[in-house]
Amino acid sequence: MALIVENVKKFYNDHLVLKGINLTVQPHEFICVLGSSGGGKSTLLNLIAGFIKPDEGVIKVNGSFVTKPSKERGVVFQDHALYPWFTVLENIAFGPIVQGMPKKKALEKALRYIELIGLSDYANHYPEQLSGGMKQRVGIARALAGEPEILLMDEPFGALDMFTRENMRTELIRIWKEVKPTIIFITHDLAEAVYLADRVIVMKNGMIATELEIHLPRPRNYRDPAFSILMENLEEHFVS
Amino acid sequence: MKNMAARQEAVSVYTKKVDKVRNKKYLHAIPIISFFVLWEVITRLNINFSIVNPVFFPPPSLIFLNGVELFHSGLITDSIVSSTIRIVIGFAIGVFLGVIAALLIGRVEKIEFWFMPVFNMIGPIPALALLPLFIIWFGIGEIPKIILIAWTTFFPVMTNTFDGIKSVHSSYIRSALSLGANDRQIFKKIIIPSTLPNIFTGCQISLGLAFSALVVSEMMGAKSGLGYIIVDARNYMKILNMYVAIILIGIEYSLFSLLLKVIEKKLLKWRTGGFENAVEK
Ligand SMILES: Nc1ncnc2c1ncn2[C@@H]1O[C@H](COP(=O)(O)OP(=O)(O)O)[C@@H](O)[C@H]1O
Ligand SMILES: [Mg+2]
Repeated sequence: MALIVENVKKFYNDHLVLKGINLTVQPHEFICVLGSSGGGKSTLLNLIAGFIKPDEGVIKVNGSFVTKPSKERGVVFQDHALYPWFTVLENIAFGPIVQGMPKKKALEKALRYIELIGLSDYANHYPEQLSGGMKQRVGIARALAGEPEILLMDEPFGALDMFTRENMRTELIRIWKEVKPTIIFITHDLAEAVYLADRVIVMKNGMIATELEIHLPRPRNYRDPAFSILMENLEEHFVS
Repeated sequence: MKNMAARQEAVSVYTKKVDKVRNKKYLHAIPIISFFVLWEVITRLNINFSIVNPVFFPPPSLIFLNGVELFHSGLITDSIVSSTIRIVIGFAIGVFLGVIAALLIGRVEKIEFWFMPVFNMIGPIPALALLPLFIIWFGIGEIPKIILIAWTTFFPVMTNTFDGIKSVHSSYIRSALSLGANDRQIFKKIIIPSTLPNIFTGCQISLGLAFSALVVSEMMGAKSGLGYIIVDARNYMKILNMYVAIILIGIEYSLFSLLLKVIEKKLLKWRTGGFENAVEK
């Protein structure tokens, strides 16, 4: 279940966006990729997801090469990308159904994931009828119901207000502890990275500038002095 | 106690809203009724003062009486039946082929390359220009009429459906792929539903054009239908018949358009956007 990224380079119109990325992710690890806008974070995630292909280097999951999207790598999008013509329940059941599970069983499974995200009352609502935070939770449940080994999240809370965002972080950690997927979570928010990650990968100009392991026990507290020290640590890498 | 009051208030707000909606539907009739009343008044005055020849501008009451007469003679029922059969068959064929063509064009790039420019070239040619040719090719029976209606229906449905396919959110497709969907499933569960609104837009545009094609085809080489009543009325100066046919065409078109909207609402009940829902009144 280990994910290995080996010397990956990616060009966009003669512009080298990723300049040789090397990264190994262990099973069940929670990784945050931190960096400012335009640093190539989404490009890296799309490569791992298999949506785009590297110009150089390889990406391997469990020893086999990543060449196209697959159900072993679930994705949560910033714009949630829920299907507006399906209800919340049908959205979450989508993965199991297309993977061949009988519809009835898939819906039962979806109900369990709706419970996990605490939206049982909204099973038959359409996505349009939900708030931003709820939509994002459904997006997470939909990705998880496909039973991926790795969950890829591209700034999933970026469009949410501050309070919802903090709730979602707590929720995500709870869900992660229960389901234990490997998570690669992209963010440009220092506090978010320190709050969530086992390990923070700092990206700058298409390269990995530094890595930082976070050993604080969970649930983490933003006001913990150790938390602040880690944040300052990371901040230094940003300015320099 | 407080709870009860709140709930009651909620209920009354709700019923008020329903009342409002009912009122609104009812209100829609007022402009139509006013239109006919005004028409009646003006044409009656014209009969008295003969400003323009009153034969050419009959009041709606006379048209209505003439319609009743034609109805008893059986002409109206026959005409409506033949016109309806033509439009339903032609329109259905046009929509079906238009959607299928768009799906094929959207799927296979080679087909897009070879067919799209040709369609764009012949699509805008008006039905009226083509009908004589169709009559020469297919005779004067039902075939050229149905082909003409299907032909005019085809293009707007095809281009709108194609636009819809092209503008499916790429993140919908990406997420489906990451959940393990194959091409066929993506087609059925993502591309078709997300294109459905465009298909309906195409259908509404086509419906108007299909009616023009219907009337034109019935005015050339037909022995029945609402369009036939119009040419027949012109040949024998039966102005009242002409008005009856024109009004019936309008009514039939409105009914079909309404039917399409009802189906659309049923199928697209997930859609909540639009101006109507932007601001609560
Ligand atoms: N599809 C694309 N075509 C051209 N350039 C792109 C494309 N996607 C990303 N880029 C460029 O690659 C760089 C990195 O983008 P991105 O990976 O989205 O950064 P981040 O997610 O860190 O903000 C940017 O300069 C961006 O303009
Ligand atoms: Mg990005």
